[in-house]
Amino acid sequence: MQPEITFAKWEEFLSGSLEAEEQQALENALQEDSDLQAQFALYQEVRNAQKDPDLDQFVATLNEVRAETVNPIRIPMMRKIAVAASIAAGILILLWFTMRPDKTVLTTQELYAEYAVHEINIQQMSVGPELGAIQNLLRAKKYAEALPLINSYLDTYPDAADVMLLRGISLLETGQVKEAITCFQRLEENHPIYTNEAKWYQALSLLKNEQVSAAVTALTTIPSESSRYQNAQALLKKIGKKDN
Amino acid sequence: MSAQSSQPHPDQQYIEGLIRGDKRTFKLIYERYFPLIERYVRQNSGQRADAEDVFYKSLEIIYLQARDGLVITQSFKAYLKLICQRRWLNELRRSQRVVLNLKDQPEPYLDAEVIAQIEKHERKLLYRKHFQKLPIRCREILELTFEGKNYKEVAEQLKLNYSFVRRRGGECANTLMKNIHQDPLFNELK
Repeated sequence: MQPEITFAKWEEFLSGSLEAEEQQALENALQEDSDLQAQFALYQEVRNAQKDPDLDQFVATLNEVRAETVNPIRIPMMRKIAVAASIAAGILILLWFTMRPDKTVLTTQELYAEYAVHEINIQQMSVGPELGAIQNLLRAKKYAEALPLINSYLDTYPDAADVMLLRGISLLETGQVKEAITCFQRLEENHPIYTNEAKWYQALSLLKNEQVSAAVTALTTIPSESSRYQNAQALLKKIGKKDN
Repeated sequence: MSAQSSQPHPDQQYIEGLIRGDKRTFKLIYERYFPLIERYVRQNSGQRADAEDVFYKSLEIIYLQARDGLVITQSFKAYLKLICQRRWLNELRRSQRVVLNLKDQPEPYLDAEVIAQIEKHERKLLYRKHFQKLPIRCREILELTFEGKNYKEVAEQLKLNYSFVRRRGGECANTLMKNIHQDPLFNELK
């Protein structure tokens, strides 16, 4: 029976980093020794457990739901009064803004600019240097510089839905609207979790392309349970105001 | 439970929703069934946070089973409760907490094949949990080696010194295995 082989040694064995003689000796031992086979099986089980992007995505969605369903915090009475007073003040301010004569009808491009606020948040389990660079460039609005990095990342990981969304945004912001729409359509078709985000971005792309009625149609397909629903309704309202 | 010969229960739609990653299904499951699980856990020495852990971890298990072709022949509520009960009872046994009315609880029945499948998935979640607890640099190095890259390639990709990657990679891998071996659940699932 062989002594226990460290996990690191298995790593070297599998990647062929061991000296040729040691590699061969381990291969031979592995064929004969059942304890060694069990150690190797465990090593492989641990290794394979990490490579599961679908499960990563599932857990990410589960965490989103978990964050949205936390118990409301109990607020003491005085704070309740303070909160109620601020809400009332907010409503009054809102009423003043909505009741006064409207002097600000925005153009289509102004509407686009108002609503095209991008959340650059890569959800990979570990944002490595490549994704980190992409994230930094996008946060600095350097979309043209980010695009080649994004494309190269997607060549390696074509199923990275969050990066695919960022590709669409970068295409959109660099004026490649048709390519952006195709990208969002693919995202909508292949990644159910991003369906509504993809619909929202298709609507924004159409708006940027001055296809207002198509944008309206796209916005109306965003369901009420989507986190983009409020945005979609607000934008629809403003488009309606603009057209009147 | 994965009785391929039996007709699937209409609640199989929940299983399909989980596989699709449909957020609406997730919320529906939470709204309809979390109160039931919370009540059960609270009645058996647990708190709301325990109930949440049990509930979400059980959903991960059901998702993994679903990918293996799980077909439910009873209601989703009943199946979820079985999985949650099993998880919570095991947790209580491990932590040796005082359980006043545990003796009145029937052991949740699942056939041996299903239990073996659940344990396989529990092992997977355990490995992932310990991997996630590693420092980020460790995860970066190991993720690349798990993709089949050798330490030289990892060093190049991460723009790090080769000997550092080799030493750190070895330490990280051994820490991961040590933590897994020390987890009481690992010894139960072996």
